[in-house]
Amino acid sequence: MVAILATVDRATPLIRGAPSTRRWRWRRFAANRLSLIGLAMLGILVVAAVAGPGVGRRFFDLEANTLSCLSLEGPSRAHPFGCDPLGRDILARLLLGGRISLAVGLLVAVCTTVLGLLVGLTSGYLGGFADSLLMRFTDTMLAMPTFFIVLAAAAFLGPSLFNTIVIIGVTQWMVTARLIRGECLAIREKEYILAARVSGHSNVGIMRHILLNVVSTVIVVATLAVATGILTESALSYLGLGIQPPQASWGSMLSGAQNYIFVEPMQGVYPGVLIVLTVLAVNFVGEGLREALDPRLAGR
Amino acid sequence: MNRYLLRRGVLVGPQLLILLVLSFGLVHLTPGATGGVDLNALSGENIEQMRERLGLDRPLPVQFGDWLWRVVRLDFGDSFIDGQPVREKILDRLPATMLLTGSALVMSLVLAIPLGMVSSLRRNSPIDYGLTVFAFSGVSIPAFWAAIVVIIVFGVELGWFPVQGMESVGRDVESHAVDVLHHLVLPAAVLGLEGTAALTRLVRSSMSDVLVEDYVRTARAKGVTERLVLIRHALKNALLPMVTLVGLRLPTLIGGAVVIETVFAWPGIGRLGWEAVLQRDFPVVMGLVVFTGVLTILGNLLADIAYAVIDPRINLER
Repeated sequence: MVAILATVDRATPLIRGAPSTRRWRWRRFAANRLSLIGLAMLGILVVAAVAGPGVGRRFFDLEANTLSCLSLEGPSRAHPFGCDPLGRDILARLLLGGRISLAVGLLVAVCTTVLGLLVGLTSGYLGGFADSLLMRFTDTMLAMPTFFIVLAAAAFLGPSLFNTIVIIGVTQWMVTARLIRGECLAIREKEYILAARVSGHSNVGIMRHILLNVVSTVIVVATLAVATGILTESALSYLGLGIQPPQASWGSMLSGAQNYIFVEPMQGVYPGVLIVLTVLAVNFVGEGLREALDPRLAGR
Repeated sequence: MNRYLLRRGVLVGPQLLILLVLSFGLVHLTPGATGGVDLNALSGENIEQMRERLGLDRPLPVQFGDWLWRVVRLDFGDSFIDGQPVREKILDRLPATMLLTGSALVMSLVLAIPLGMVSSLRRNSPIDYGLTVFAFSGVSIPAFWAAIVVIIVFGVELGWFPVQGMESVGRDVESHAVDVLHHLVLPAAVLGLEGTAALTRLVRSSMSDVLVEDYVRTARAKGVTERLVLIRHALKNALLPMVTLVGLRLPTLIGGAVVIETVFAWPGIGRLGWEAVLQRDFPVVMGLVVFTGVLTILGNLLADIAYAVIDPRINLER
């Protein structure tokens, strides 16, 4: 019985545009303690990544790409996390690596969202032959062992920050496209779209109406794409095909530390813990947004 | 159901075509790539001559047709590095990967079904909360880092499991099978972690959906024991979507295998692919993309057929 009540509560319809919508959404977001924890963690990580390297350089002499200490030097006042095998300050590199990870995650999300919207809206709006063609293509991409393709593309095109983002984005848009197509198919049949049509809106105008109504879905899947982007980038950099030295990346820091793992095991711990915390925070926030923006999807 | 199966089967055609075009394009449209032919061994003047002899000066569609005809006969060319046929290299390494990914998948299912069920039945309890945190952590941990951590803890500090390769070298073992299983534990556990976490969440949500269905209430009302209600009425229906989801997990598993096999020096196709990519061994890379792609497309086809066989409603819905 309790379970039934819980479902009824979950399915309470959201009245769009009502004055309390924003507060209602915040309440739903905050109802899950994990979302709040995620938001706080993410906030700290973003501040550290954005301001950290500058503050470190200005006030604490932390240089990420200068050989400022001995190889594998232990933690000290000047170098709180010690030094990497080449003698560079680990804290400074962790902060810069965070910047890269978050930037890659965000830009991958932008990339997948743009591609997903393009395919999903076209497919869902046009329907018919174009729809089946695009969806077969999407399904095929979904069934491909994309990580192989990511690896191969990174090696053939040459590893770089830009290539990393584009390659991951181009292989991760399918879920977004399918979700948006599904939403679009449902919205296309709504009365307000019919109203827009009879009142003489152009195709572009109607597309705009549809677009505004899929925003919640887009936000939720984009958040999850940030997490996928960060994880894929770290794996790619770990394998040596992502971010290239001297740029700092948590993934490449781990592969550098791996050879010295028995001398300085903590060096293999910091970047890993940071990747986990970042991805975890993003996933918690994503789940909270899902509950706040799209009650039908909550708990899935 | 036959009509559904026919329509689903026909889909494989375009899927395969898209896969082949993509993998051909990947190698041929990349700057500096020579379409699977090694030009490194040649001097400047001979390159044009060689391009002509190998047919690289012909229009791309002609080259594609030619390549397609060879792929249909399972001829992926020879490796640049050791001249071995790509097909043999892949088939040599395939069993190791099948063993690894298969064990990981079985582990995910065996753990995720009971965990997801408990989570769903004790919704919002401390157990559910703990399992939720586990599920989120499981999908947030990069596999290569989890691998490094278990190598240090269970391989080196505790010394319980070997951390490199698939079998002991230079040491007498009582049973080969036990030796391989011993080597399998850590890589399979790490590879299965992400799947376990993701599937736990999915079982939880589909179980929660099923528990409020009328037929579950009916079963309870007519006095079926709770145990039977949960297993025969609820779980059976809750697991239906899992059939499709297992099919959709195949690409993730193969991608994960690349990383895990590299870290654990597991002699499978994932590690073969990584080595080939690093050495610019184009024929091997192309062969692997096509081969694993075909395998996942067929895996998804099997999953959909299984779904149609298990769920009679599919007939009406489609």
